[in-house]
Amino acid sequence: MMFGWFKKPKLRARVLDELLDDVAETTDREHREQLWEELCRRFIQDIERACRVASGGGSQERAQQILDQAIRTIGSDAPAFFTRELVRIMRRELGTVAVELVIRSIYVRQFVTLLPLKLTRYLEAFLDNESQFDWTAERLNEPIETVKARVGEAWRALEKVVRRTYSAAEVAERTEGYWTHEAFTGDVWK
Amino acid sequence: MEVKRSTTREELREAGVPSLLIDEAMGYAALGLDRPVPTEELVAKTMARLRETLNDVPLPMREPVPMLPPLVVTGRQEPIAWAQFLGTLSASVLDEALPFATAHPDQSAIVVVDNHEVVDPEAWDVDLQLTMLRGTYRTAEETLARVQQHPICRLVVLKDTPGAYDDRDLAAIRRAIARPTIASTYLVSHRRARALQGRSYTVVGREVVFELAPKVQAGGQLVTEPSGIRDPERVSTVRDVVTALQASAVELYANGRLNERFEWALKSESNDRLRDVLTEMIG
Repeated sequence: MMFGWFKKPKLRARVLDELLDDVAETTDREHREQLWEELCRRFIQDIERACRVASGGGSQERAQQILDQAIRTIGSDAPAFFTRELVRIMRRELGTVAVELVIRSIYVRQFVTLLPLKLTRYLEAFLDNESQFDWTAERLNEPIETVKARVGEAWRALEKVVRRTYSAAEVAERTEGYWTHEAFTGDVWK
Repeated sequence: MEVKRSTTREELREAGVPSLLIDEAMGYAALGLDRPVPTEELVAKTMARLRETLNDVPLPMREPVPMLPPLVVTGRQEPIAWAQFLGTLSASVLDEALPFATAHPDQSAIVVVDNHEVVDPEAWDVDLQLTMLRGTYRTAEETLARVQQHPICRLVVLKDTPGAYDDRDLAAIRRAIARPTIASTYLVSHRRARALQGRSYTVVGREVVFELAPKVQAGGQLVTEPSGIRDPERVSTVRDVVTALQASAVELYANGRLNERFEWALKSESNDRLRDVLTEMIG
């Protein structure tokens, strides 16, 4: 049960833009629910975390409402920048302070599925578990040293694949400038 | 469940985690947040909730574009054609819309697709024929209100680029927002409109449809078939597409209150804010 959501490799590996196009265009209700679930899996942790930061209780319910609103923006055509739309809704519902604390994690999510699936799962679990190696290792049921190595490998690969896929301007546009090509490397904090 | 966070900044740095994420992680630690609920558990709970509310989002139409070719190739703009158009439209409100409204109290009997690519917003203020058409809509709106049926539903399809709106267009839009002829108005970008790109329809009841055609020369607006077309399939398609688009469109007045972004735009006397809002919507 713990790894139930790893049983759909094709959906899990889908790049976000393609996933959104599929949500907008599918005429099959069951398939659409599977796609919604995949969107939920990718973003609900960050949304719920922002709700916890904003406090006021009922963080799961508030996160559900926000995701509901975000999915409705897809309509019959995918929004150009779904993640920005999600952030806009979160800011409106939770305020800018709470969103600011999770925004880098939210914005990087859209790039994670550019990685091979074997690395995607490590990075997603790492982000889901608030960058805690021990919690991530526990969720993945793997040794902590393995998790550290794979997470590091994933970040290095992500920098390359993002550069290859998106121009600097596109990365900035997709992330409101929070992420840049350089920000994926270790150079930034030197 | 153990909440203590044991991963240090140094460990994250050594593993090659970007500093942006390290700062974020340290921020969570400083706030003393609870440990996150396992993802699969959170997803399961969320999906159980979302299924209850999201399944009312209509599925998109299959192959909508090929079903909406222009009614006719060329249109007519002469006064006699417009007189016929306005007369037929008025008559169809009584003949078609009211019986439909009675039979389908949950739907708008009249659906208008107002496409800015077809009719410039400014034209509604300066073109006599369009001014008369607006009067016809107003009468129809009042008629539906009098019999306590759904008002006209209007979907405005915006132009492809914000730069295509000049100051006169923006002034006309500003007036239309402040004093709408049709209150139940939704706005959607050209890109999202898909099957309705380049189309400007008025659908009445179950089977009557009128279409305005893009201007091909100087002069008044063209109407493609002044006496309307009886085409139940096309009417059904337009209704379905509009309904599908409503889910993602911006509703101008929700529960009688002007959309907050447009309210903000109208508070300024210049058109800059309005242009910003349209730019956001056009994407």
